[in-house]
Order: sequence, then structure tokens, then C-alpha cells
Amino acid sequence: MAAADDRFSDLLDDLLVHVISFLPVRDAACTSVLSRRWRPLWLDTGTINLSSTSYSSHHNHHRRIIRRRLFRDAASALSAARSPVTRLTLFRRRRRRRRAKGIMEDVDALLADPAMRRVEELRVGFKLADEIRGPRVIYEMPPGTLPAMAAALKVLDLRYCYLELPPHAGAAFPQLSSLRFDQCSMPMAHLTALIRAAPNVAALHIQHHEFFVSGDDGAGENDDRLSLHCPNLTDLTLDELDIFTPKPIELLAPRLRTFSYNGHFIEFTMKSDEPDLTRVDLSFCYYDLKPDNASVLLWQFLGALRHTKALKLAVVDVDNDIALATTKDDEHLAMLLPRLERLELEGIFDAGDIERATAAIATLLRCCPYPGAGPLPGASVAPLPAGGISSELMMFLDWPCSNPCAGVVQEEKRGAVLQDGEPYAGEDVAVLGEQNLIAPISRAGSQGGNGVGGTCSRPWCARSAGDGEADLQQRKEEKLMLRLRPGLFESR
Amino acid sequence: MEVDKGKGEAEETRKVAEADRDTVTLKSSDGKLFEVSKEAAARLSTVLAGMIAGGSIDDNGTDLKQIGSEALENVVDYCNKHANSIPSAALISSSISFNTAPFKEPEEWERKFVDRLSHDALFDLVEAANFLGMERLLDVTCHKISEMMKGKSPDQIREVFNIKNDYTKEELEEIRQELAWAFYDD
Repeated sequence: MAAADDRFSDLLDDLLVHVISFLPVRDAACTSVLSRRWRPLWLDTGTINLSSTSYSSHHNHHRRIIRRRLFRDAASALSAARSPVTRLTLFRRRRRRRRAKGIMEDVDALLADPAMRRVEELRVGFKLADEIRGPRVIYEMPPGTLPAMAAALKVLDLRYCYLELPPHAGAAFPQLSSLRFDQCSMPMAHLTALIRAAPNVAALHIQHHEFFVSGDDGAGENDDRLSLHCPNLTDLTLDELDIFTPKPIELLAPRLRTFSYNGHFIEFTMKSDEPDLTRVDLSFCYYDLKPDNASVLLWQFLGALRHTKALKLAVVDVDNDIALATTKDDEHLAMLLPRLERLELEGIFDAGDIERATAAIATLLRCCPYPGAGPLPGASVAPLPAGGISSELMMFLDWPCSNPCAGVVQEEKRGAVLQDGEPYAGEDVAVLGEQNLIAPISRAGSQGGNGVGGTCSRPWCARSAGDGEADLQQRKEEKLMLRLRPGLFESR
Repeated sequence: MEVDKGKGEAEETRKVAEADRDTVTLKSSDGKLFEVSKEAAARLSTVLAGMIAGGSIDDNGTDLKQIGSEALENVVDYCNKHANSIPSAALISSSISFNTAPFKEPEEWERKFVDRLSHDALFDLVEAANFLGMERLLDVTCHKISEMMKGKSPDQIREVFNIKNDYTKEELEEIRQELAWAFYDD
């Protein structure tokens, strides 16, 4: 499919350079032969992208050749570049997890190059042919590497790396704004120190992280709390941190906008005032044993994140995880989530005891704002339809909304229930009744418990059912997806 | 009488709607009008943000003489999709692939969005994004172009993009020598 015109000819050199900056280094260099205009452009990208995948198709996966060329190309590009290299991406595909000394040395040598001190965006990652969980470290970054780059570094993105950054090394990362660790490992105190040394981090993503507790990094670290002090953080993702030994989290993030958490019920404390969040995703699971105080911990999370506009909550056990320990707690519920505009709940409930699930959901609803001030009366939530509930039940509860624009997203979904703008009759606002249910019921065609074990698509869920874990298996499990969208209401 | 009253009401409603409008109207070089979410426009385009802040937005259609209707439609489409998409930065995404490109990887919908564009529409969009100061859209579109170049020989790239080779044989040979490391045979 050839173009009729050379559309590049209308574009400024800057844009061509921008296009080249996305190419692997060898492809970038090759653009110099396209035409005279292109010849010098690749030298100005300030970017070196090294990816073993850009070689493999040419070389029948002869790994040693790929490796040699990869790093030779890096060195060539580095010495040819006209502008300082500010972005380095190194991506290697690995067949095996076994550490390969040669690669380590090549990476070390590249990162230790004095030219790397000007790197602003560093991405180092590996991909395994088999992504099985297990020992994660493929590359051990020498402790001196990051401190040498600290002054200029803005983006740091590491995958399958082990790194140490002794808290007393005194490195400061004044420019660092985006930090992502995926499948990495680092002593807790070192991570805490790194984050404290980077006060301008705006985006922090930590996934599948393992913390090493080494004997000698003590130095006054008397607790094993993950303490994240990020005065300028706006986006935070914490996903399956140290699943075998979960740690309490202490967060200071007054400017946080989005927060996503996936993992254990843990102790969660917010050291700053509750931030005005736009979106919170909480997904709780038990990997081993469920803590006795799961619901207490859950409400602790919600309390700390109460000023969110949207909340997506996934729990294993709707009936118990959301339940309140005492009725006294109940009094504090009213308007717990005063800014909430959208709520999604996902979890499993006991179909044999619908009232418990209903009570749990009602509890949650009571936290939400309601027209004419005050909480949504829990009593207005009718029982879920008993009997004949399939293995998958979806419910949408919609309140009429005075802002048609805000309804657009939901329109398709709720079309079957309410035509847009159709006023709700009478006082039955937020009645969770039959007419509000869109239930792809009985898709599996089976009534009762058949096939219930695998109802949840979430891996931990399937596993817990498969392993015949305790009472969850005994009960008739159902997956409940509840989508609520309180909006702005018609004033009457 | 009845009719007039109805019209008056409609006018009233329109005024109320305009007062707190959350969209802005943009006009392409060929005079077509497009509505775009004000919030998304301000967030995604430095130029539109400046116009909104500076009050130079015309309710009857802000003139964007440099942008044709097809490109503007794509810009508006992109903004509105962005306005409706949940920021995936915060979504649980254990399957995030490692970035091989020096920017945040296009999201699924962004990928689809640029994939369906024709060659010309893609370049028009690059120009529009550049003109409007839309960094993210510029990244996504330029990344798409780079994908079309990746792994191809210079001849293939020239063919796809209709780039005229204005080198002499000798010059080409010289560059190949100079960059021998990049031009080894596969």
C-alpha cells in the first residue's frame, strides 16, 4: 500500500526526528539512507532503543549474535549521536530465568558509560519466554548505577531487576517524576529511601514486587511498614506487593488523583489529609488465610480514600468483607463517601442467604450521597431476587440524572431499563427492584449449583474454588457485579 | 402565540445550556462544526487550553483554518474518547507489557484508533496534533508511523511512504560504510 505523495515532505524535521525516536536503534540509523533530508535526522533523537526482539527475526534467534550486536549497536549509536542521549530503553527477551553473566556485564558496562549520566528516561526490562511466578531477578543493577544518574533522571521503569540503594548513600532524584517497578525486588528500606529522595514523583507503579529484608539494612528501621511519602504523587498503583508477607502501607500523598490497589487486606493509613481522588480501584483477595478483621481493614481503606469520585471495589466475599463489625460503626457511615459519583462492586455472595448480601450492599450504599442531602436510606434497597439466580448476575442500578452528558457513557448499558431522561416515578429512587435489573441470568442454563465453582474469572477465585477452600466452596457461590451510578439529581 | 411561547422557551433552554456548556465547538477549514468535551480539549491540547483560558472560544465555532474536517473529526473523536475512557494508569493491569518505545504505550483503544486511519488521514492527524499542541496524540500517531517503518529495508520504507531517493550511488555507498554497524547483512 504505497502512498501517493511523500507526506513526510510536509512535516518539519522535528516531527521526523520524533518518528525516528520510536525506532530501535538500528532501524533508526538505517533511516539515514532514505534520502538526503533524512541523513542527519537520526543523530538528533537523543534516544537509544535497544530491543533484542528487533533482531530475532533476522537471526533465527541466535542469541549470542543478537547479544553481541545489540550492545555493539548501542555503543556505535552512543558515539555517533549528535545530541546527548537522554532516553535509553533496553529490552531483552530471555529464554530462561538463569542469570547470564555476560549479559549482566554488557548491561553494566552500558549503564556505567559516562554519557549515561545525562539520561532522563531509563527503561530496563526483560521478558521471559515463560512468565511463571518465581524468583524474579534477572538483572542485578549495581548499587552505583542509579546514584550516578540521579541528577538527570525523570523516568525510571524497571522490570525483573534487583536493585539496592542504600538509604545512606545520599543520592537525590530531584527530577524523577515517574517510577515503575514491575517484578522487581528491593529491600523495603531502600525503596522507602528512594521515594523520599524523589519528592517530585507524580506517577508510581509497583507491581509484583518483592521486598528483601536483609539483616544489615536495619539502621533504625524498626517496623516493616511500607511508607510512601510522596508530596507530589498523583497516580499510584500497588499491585500484588509481596504476596507472601504483606506489609502495612502508610501513604502521604496529598495530591493523589488515582489509586489502584490489588492485594491483601492490610493496614492502610493516610498520613496526609484525605486527597480529592477521581478514581479508586480496590481489589482485595486472600492468598492464604483471610484475616479476621478483613472488613475493618476494608473500611480503613475507604475512610482514607473517602473523597473519591469513582470507586471500584472487588472483594472475595461480599457478605462478610463489607459487613460492619458493630452497629456503632453504622452511624459513621452517612456520607462517608461524599463525592462519590460512581460505584462498582464485584464479589461473591451467598445465594442461599440473599439478605446478608443485600445488607452488605445497603451498607455500602448508605455511604453514598443522595439528593436532598443525607445518605441513601438503606431500607430502600429491596432484596435481591431469590431463586433462579444464575452463576452470573449483573445488576445495574441507575438513578435519574439531571446531566444528560454524564449519562452518555452509561446509556447503552442502561438502555433496556431507562430511556435517557425518563424521570423516575414517585419516590422510589434507588430501589433495587426487578425493573432495574439487567441480568444475563442463566446464561449457563443451569439452575442451582452446577458449574458454580468456576464462576469467577479472577484467577484467585478459580483457584480457591478448585482447591475446595473452606466454606467458600461449601456455599453456593455467585458472582455479583453491581454497578451504581449516583449522579446529580433533579431537584424537585 | 403558542408557537412563539414554545420558541421562547427553547431559546431560554438553549441559553441556560450554553452558560455552563461543557463542550466547545470547533470549525474546520471547510466550515464544518464539531463539538468536543471542554475538559478533554483543555487537558489534551495546549493550544485549545490556551484558547479556553483566554476566552477566545467562539460559541458559534472556533475557527481552525489549518485543519480539514476529516482531521478535525479525528481530533474531536480522540478527545471525546479520552474524556470517556477511564484512565488506565490506575487500573489494575498486571499484564502491562514492558515499554519498548520511549513513551507510555498506546492503550488498546488508542491503538485501534490509529490503526483504522488511512495513510493520508494518519499524516493529517499528525499535522493537526502538532498544530494543536496535543502531545499524547502526536506520540500515538508518530509511534504508529514508526511501526510502519520498523524492521523494513530502506527500499521498502521508501516504497511505503513514497520517499524519493535523491542520493547518488557513491553517496549511498559512503553512508553504508560509515554506518557499517547498522547495515550488516542479515
